Amino acid sequence: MVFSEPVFMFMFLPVTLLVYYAVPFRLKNAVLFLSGLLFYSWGEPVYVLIMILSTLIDYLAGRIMDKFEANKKIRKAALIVSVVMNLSLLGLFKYSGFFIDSLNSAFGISLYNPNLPLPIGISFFTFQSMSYTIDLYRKNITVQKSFVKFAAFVTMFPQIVAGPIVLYNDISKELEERKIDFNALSDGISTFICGLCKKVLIANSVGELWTTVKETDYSTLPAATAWLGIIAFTLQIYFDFSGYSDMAIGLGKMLGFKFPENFDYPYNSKSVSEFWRRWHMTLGGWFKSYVYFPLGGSKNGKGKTIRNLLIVWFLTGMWHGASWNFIIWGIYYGIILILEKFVFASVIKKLPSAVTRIYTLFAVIIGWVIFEITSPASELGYIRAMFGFSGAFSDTFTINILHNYSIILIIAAITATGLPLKLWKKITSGKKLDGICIAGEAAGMAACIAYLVDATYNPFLYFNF
Amino acid sequence: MKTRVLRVILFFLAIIIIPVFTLFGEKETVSYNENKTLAEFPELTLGSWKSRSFMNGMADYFSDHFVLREDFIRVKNKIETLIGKNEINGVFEHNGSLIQTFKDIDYTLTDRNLSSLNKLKAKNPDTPFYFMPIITAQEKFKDSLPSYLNLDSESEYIEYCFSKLKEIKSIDVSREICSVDYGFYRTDHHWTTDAAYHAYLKASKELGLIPYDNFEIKTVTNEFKGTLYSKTLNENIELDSINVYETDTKFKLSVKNDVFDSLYFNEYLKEKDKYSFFLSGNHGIITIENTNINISKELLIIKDSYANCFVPFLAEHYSKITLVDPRYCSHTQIKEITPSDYDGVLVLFNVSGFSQEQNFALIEFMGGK
Repeated sequence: MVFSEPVFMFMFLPVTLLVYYAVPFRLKNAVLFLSGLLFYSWGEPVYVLIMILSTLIDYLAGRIMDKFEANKKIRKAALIVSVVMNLSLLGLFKYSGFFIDSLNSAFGISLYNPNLPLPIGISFFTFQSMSYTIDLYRKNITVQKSFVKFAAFVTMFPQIVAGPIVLYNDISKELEERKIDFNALSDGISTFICGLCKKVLIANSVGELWTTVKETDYSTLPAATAWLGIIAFTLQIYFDFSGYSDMAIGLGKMLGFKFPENFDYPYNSKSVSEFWRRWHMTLGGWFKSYVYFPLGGSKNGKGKTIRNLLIVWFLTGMWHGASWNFIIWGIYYGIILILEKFVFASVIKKLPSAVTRIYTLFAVIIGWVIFEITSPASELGYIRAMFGFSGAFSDTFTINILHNYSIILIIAAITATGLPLKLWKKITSGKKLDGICIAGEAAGMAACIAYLVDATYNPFLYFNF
Repeated sequence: MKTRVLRVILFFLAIIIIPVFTLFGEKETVSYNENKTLAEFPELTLGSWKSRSFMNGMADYFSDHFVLREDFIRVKNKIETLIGKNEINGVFEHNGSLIQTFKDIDYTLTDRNLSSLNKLKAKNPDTPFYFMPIITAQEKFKDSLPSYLNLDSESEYIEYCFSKLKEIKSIDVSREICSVDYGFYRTDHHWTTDAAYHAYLKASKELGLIPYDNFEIKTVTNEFKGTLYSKTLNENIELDSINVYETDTKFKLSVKNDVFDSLYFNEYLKEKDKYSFFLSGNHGIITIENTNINISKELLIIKDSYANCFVPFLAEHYSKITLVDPRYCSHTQIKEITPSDYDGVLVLFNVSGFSQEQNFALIEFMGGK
């Protein structure tokens, strides 16, 4: 199930929330666990068993580590079982097909590819549960003795499908005790509706533009169209992903949890390093504490730092998908970050912020070309088109998409800077204008429902002519 | 604090009232605008759960019966129009009319269709073939439509088709149609009977007929809301009227084993799809016999629905007309037809339909001499 689906918003959510609020506190975690299972199995009626199994193993690993507190070997063994199990699940379901295909084409052999479908959210929930066993091994946290509470942490429906990656440490206190009041509920609703609008009204709209451009032939694609297309994708992925994170954070608040923020207006960044501190922050944080720092981080000299950065960015790229373009995309960022750290650090500091912002956006946009277009040959074709190597600057199709999408693109671009919200807060500071907010949210929600309902409207499917 | 309570109450009202009305409100079983039977509540079994057909069924059920569904869609269309996306499902509103846009034409499909036609002609070299493409409303209004719509030119498309025909006579009625004021319905993608009449005057010359002029023109309905309304749900367009050009001639219309004594079907005027008034809509094969004509003069028409309001004019001149609609014809049905059994073959499609017609190649299975 996804949040922007009528069955979620108008069946799962009201029923789950009403039951959740009605039951006494000691049962709330059980409601979370069971509703999470229902939510997950709605999309993965079979793979839900894998998730239950992995939850059980991580829970037992935790209990064993706790029981044999003095025995380092057993503790280590339990950790290794948990990490290997999580990584094998990822390896088997996410990467096996890719590796087999790569081997087959590299050596001209024909190994059997089982083509396993990818279980939804597997990259998120395996990373979340690993955070528990690793932190427990490091003694940063204490053990969770209740299976229901641990399972509620792993399967909680707000973040299970697309993050943010919530560490056990982030919500361990709230699992034991949390307060749900009108303030939290009201904030949660605002955040949820805000995320819904980002996803349904902005991301889906600009996404349509990108879809039409992506389908064209890049060898004759006019430069203006190529830029409009990739800018649309740049906005789409931000609003889609951050919208989904907002919805998750909002739902978390409604349930009494405080999830970490995941995006901080990343397109305002003045360097690529800053961009990655503000984009998908929970993933960056995860790699930092569970890969980069254990490897030694930047403490062991230039050579090892470069090695560590490349490892982290290779893995970050791979985490995004089992395909070469994601690996290239990760390494592309690894190289830029190394250059920023060791070569251009002083230059970037001196340049005016307009220049560094443009440089950052440019690097990020080229990154999205690599990210979104799967074949390296087409990526080059697209980049060539952006720089005018495919002929004309614009054509009648460019005019058409400008007419249809300018307004939404401008709204999206301005919203992505965060300025409207800042301005709004400035105007309303000290004043009571919450009524206007409610009216705006109600209108936004109504518009979202209209768009969601329309997505299912198929006039005259078969007697069209 | 008060406003916070208000927000929580409003949100919960929304997420509770909508499902209550959707699940327990009064329900339609058929959607006229989408021409489909609406989803029924899915059955929950272990199998339907595992295969996800229960979940998909739930999603369909919920969206099909969503409370105020069409009103929500109108809201969405309104927002889209306001932000500049004023082409809704390929339909553009222009001067009080809805116009279906003709763009992004796939010439490979057109080439394939024309080559099927040429092959059929080559199999029947002694039978005269006529190709009569019909423009849509876009061509009539092309000079006043905004250029950002990035439309293709129907006249160029017609020229292109004509240039590919071999031994097939082309009949171009574009100018005649454009001269008619009310040549296209405002809420439907078809041409009007008035436009068809003017096309008939021109086509008779090419077909060697003397046009009949004793028609009695009657308006049979002025409450027609057609396909373009269904695509846009735009309530601001004036409803259409349907005219009929009647004579005293007696006809026999047969569809499969059913025989009717009229070309017009009043019962459809009460339904949503009022264009089916003509010939009772689209069927694989329809035959029309004119009992007033004693000598045998037979015409084969390969057609789409644009022919339905046009055929009654030609029916005055032929003892028998066979209409073949490749979209609704089976392979075995089409094999029974041999063009050389007829005195002529007329191919009549609207350009938009012809450019997208996937089943046209079926005509290659027709017989030859």
